[in-house]
Amino acid sequence: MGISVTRARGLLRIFQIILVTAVSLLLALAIALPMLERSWVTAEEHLAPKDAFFRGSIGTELIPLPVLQVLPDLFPEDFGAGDTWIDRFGFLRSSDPDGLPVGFTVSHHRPQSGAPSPVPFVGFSCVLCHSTRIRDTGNQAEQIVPGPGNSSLNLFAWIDSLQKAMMDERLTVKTISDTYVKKPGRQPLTVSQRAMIGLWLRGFRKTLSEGLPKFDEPFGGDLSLTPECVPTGPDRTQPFRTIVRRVLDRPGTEMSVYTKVATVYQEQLREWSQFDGSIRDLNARSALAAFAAGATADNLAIPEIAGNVRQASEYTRTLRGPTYEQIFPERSLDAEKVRRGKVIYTGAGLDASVGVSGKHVKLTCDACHGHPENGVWIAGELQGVVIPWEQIKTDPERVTYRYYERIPDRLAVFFPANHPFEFKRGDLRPGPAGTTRGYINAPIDSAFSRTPYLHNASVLTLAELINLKPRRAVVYRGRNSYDPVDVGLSSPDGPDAVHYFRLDTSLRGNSNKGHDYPWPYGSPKWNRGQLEDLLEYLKTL
Amino acid sequence: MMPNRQRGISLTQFTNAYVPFALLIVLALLLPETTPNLDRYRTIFTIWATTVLLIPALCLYPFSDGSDAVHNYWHLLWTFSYLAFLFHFYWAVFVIFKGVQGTFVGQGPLIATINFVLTAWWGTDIALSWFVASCPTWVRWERAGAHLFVFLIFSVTTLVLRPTPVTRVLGLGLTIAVAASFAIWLIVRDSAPAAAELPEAK
Repeated sequence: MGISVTRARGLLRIFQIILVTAVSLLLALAIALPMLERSWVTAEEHLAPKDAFFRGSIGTELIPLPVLQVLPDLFPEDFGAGDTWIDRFGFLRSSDPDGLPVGFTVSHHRPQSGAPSPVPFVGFSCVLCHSTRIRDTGNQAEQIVPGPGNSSLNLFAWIDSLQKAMMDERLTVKTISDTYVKKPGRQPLTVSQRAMIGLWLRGFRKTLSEGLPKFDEPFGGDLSLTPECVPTGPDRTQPFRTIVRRVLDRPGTEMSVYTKVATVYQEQLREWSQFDGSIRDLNARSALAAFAAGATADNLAIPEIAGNVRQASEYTRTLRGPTYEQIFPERSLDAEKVRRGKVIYTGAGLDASVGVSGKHVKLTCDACHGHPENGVWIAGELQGVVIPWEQIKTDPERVTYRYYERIPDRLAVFFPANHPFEFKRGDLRPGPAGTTRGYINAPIDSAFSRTPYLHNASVLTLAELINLKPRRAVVYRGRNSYDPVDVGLSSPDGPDAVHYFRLDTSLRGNSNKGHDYPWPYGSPKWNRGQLEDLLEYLKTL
Repeated sequence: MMPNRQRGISLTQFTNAYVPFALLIVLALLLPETTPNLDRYRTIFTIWATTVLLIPALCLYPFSDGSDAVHNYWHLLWTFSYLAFLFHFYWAVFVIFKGVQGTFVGQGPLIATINFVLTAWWGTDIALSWFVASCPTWVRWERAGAHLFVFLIFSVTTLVLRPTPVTRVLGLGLTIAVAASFAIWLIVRDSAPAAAELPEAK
């Protein structure tokens, strides 16, 4: 029995009506979605400089908040139980109601694109890396000192553990959702939140999987805390790894460029920034830091995020570090030693030809770093000069890695024209403004709080830096307490649960040699008393 | 070519033109969710959708004076490709460049002016095609000019100004298909009088 032509035409007509209706509904939903998305991001907020530094999104969104909150439940082998991951990786505890550490900021921007998201994403604000706790008096939330690098933060280990967890097939939208809702006070995730988490997880995993042939697998577990697997360690970063990967599309895994997280006091005093004096503009150096931490050209162009970067930069322009006496009021300084120490600071040193111009000067502390006078930092004669690494003899990896000369050229064209943070080629070195591979003489206000020392954080105390004491070949890093006597971080002679990271200064990129001022340890001019006086004076900066 | 005849558009014709349009726009709006820049890729994908719809519209245009079916398909595809273009126009002008003034700054006066003229002319022609029953000579010339202008802008943009792999494929497809269509139209037109002289088939 066949179907009649009339009936077939009728069925076709019905099918067409249904098809047109269904497609129209789909189209309506697709058109509604962008409008809905705009409601996910709250009205643009203009943060004051300090707020931008402490809690402003700078485009580094990484992971949905619900996922971050369930990671310890799903992967205790990587993150420890409960909130112990905060201490495990050296983050600073805060009074945040979500239990997030200092510098974890929540926004409704998606990673990379900055597009609106129905689920909150966690990113980093500037204060995550650029703040530390010098003295532990029990009230942890109140002891944050903004400016210096976080001496305990092992960010690369956390990222390694995070990547390991993301690669684990046990992590699904369902396990995330089921675990999340079991937490006290948590509402079930909405459909759109689950969809966004699924979209994010698939993208994150795809990126990681595509990178495996180049970057290899993450380690996770306790291995992420070992120098053999993740050699960066606490308070250090690999500033060029991300940049090399994203700007040059190279693995960047063979570079031993371990750099201390910079202290960002009074940036107005520094025309050129970074340890090698490679960036001039203050906003550009902040944007590059955000870029190295995961921001993109796309999301850095979003007005809210661009505004936060600028405002946070403004905060660092005049940010002043604490004084030694503010942090250690019970340790009064010896005025006579301070007076004698200042004489050493301004007058003791070797006669030498310095810099590429070969200027003949006396290499005093003051000549290179300047000194305070009535609350104002007076620049030294050589402040701002880039000293070739062959002269200062500190670890050269920072300025001799393979792509050192190529990065500025590529950065200068990486951000599109008219981008809020378009890098001017003249503001990047090596380039037209200088090609010296070395380290820049910078002001050292609040010197005691800048620990650890040298660009690779290989010297823990000022006593060692000025060669009052011999520099230790091996130190143990983690959540080191402050040593107010030697002025810097203390280190045990062996590893323990808190000091887990063995920093071996004989390894590539870790050298603690060089900067032998005012005199090399044990040299003929070396004078213990004078160096003790100098150390006392340094406490006053 | 093609007087403005308001011919009865069948449900099948409408479905065949509308469904591809709607699905392409749905994809153009949703697929960017997987890209690193939502707005940029919505702008890009909507112009790709426009180009895909424009290829049959431009190819059918020379023949639109023929059967009602061809005319209707041209009319629908010409209209839907313009609607798709309006999605692109909105994202480019109001989302990416933050307004007309920003478009002139971002694209430069020449490109921006061409784009605004394109949008206005194409839209005017669509309006004329739907709302003006007669088709005087000036409308015929206007329509031919609009099609030529749209074709030139899209082929130059896809092949020369923004030659990504996908746009190059689209541009080549557009150019080859339209050139072939026009060539066929010329052949058919030239042979039409001769055919008329042929004796009627027994």
